[in-house]
Amino acid sequence: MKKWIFSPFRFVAGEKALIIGWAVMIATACIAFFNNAHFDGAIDVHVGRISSFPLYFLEQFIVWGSVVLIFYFIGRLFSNTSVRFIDVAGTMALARWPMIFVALISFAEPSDLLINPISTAAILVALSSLPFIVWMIALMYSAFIISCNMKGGRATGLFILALVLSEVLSKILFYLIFTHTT
Amino acid sequence: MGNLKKLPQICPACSASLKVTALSCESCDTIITGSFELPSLFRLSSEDLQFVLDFVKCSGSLKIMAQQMKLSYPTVRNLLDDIIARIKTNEQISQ
Repeated sequence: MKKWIFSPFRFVAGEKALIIGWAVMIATACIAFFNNAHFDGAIDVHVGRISSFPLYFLEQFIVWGSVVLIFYFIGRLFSNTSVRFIDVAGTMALARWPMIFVALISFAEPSDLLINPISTAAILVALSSLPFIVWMIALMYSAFIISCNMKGGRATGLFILALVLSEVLSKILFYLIFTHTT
Repeated sequence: MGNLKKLPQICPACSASLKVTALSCESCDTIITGSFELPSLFRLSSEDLQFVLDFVKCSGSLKIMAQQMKLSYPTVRNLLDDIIARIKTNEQISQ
């Protein structure tokens, strides 16, 4: 059971993981549309800003795409084995599945969040979301070490580097897209 | 495979690699003595050797291996990579 929670990629990867991951990402985007939750970074979620329906889907795929590109590039560069794009794409898509819980928790955000972003209710909701974000990061790490066959301290170092680069890339893409669409 | 005795590879006295010095025929009791290197594959653990045998039986298809082992493709590929690394290490030690 523990293996399925923190390392499902021992058992599922590639196309199967990609299809399940995309399905969950689409479901997350649908939920996010109703409570204005924005997944606007590799490990980010912000609630409040109202946007058009397609942007919630675009966000999911920009974030996932940024993560996949960076991790695939890092894997190809530093791994001693052959890294398949479909494995990185699939496992990183499925690694995002805890975000559906974050989207659901976002319904509890107070209505005056934009006016009073540091209220007790807002902080409680943010803290409730935190374990799911940590879970997603743990899954991303598992996805990275399995799809790119990384081990030890080198794996941890490269993972942190790739995560930071993914965050930066997704933020740049969001800046470019949102400044032209909203 | 599970019934096979574990073949000792390292000398318990000095930790050097062991060699085969005698082979015998159970049918006629002929004994051949000499100094023979253990093939690389025989230096693997029984689990690793079983993996290699299964891999060969699957015609070298990691996809079929993954289906049989009920593991994902990259997990099986990583297991194979680990075995390759161990074979290379064993070869370096024996040289």
